[in-house]
Amino acid sequence: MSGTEPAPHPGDPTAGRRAAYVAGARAALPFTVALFAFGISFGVLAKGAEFSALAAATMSGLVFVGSSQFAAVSVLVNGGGWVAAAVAGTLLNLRYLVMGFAILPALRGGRARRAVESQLVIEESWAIASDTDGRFDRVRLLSSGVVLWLGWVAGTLVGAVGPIKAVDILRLGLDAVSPVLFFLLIAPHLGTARRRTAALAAAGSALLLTGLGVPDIAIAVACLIAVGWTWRGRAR
Amino acid sequence: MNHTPWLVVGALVVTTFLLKGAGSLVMGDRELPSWFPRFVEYLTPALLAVLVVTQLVGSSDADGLAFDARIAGFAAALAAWRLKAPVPLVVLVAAAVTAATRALL
Repeated sequence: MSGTEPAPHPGDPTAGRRAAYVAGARAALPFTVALFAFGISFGVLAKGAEFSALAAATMSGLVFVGSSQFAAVSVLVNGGGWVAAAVAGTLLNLRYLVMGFAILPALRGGRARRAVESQLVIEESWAIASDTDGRFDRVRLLSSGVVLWLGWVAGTLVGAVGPIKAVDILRLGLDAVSPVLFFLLIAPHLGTARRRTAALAAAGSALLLTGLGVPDIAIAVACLIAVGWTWRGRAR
Repeated sequence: MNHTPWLVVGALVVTTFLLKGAGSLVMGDRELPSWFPRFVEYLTPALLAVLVVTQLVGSSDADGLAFDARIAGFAAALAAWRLKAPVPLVVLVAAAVTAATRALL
């Protein structure tokens, strides 16, 4: 898809940047529709856990990780305390440690500015910003991140303020949108045999670990696979 | 007023900021090691493959694999993609076929 192609930039850097902004925002749009709907469900869930609309929107705006927020609020809904809730949410965010390091060479400016720009990293924006040579495009990260952020926060507000009881994500088939989009984003990254085997190994272990009821470990295993493949490639 | 939500929000905001920003906070102006780009080259397809699998057959409220209407939607979207349909159409096909399959099952 368009978001994964390197931006055209010969000659005119401004035009290249603008093209990258547009490419990132456009690639983010289908994800944003799904994220908006998930945001509504999050807002509804948070409302049920006695979150004010301001608290729910603050959480979505500053944490900006759906799975982590759902996990934290679900712990509260199920009777857990605030520490347990925060720990659950934090554990689901550990993957951003790796993704944050990966995107680091693309960021600019001082330490604080790069740390702030890193906050726009979520799986979707990270994938959209990735080029096939293992590098990342800062402009596509920022533009797709902002579009996704707006959808997520707006959805949260609609859910937390509005009279909606629940969005029927299942009835609308919206739960199939994310895997399809991630599949479209992976396609450009399968250019070499070694990348394909890395992806296959990761997919296989994810299947196994999901079957065992511990899908969250699959991310860590994928990191180990990438380490192993890097190590093996070194000898050649 | 119930303070628990704000405690959770505050704690999670802090840990998320540190995790997402750890790269630049830890590295500062130092360069990443030379093997790092190659690691990322393999990390990207591996991580995306995990996301495809866990979101396709994972389930939030049940342990284990859940093969449901998503598979049909995914297969239909795959077919649309092979036929070079534009991305919005591929997404629409995925949602529509999943919804229809679920309604029929």
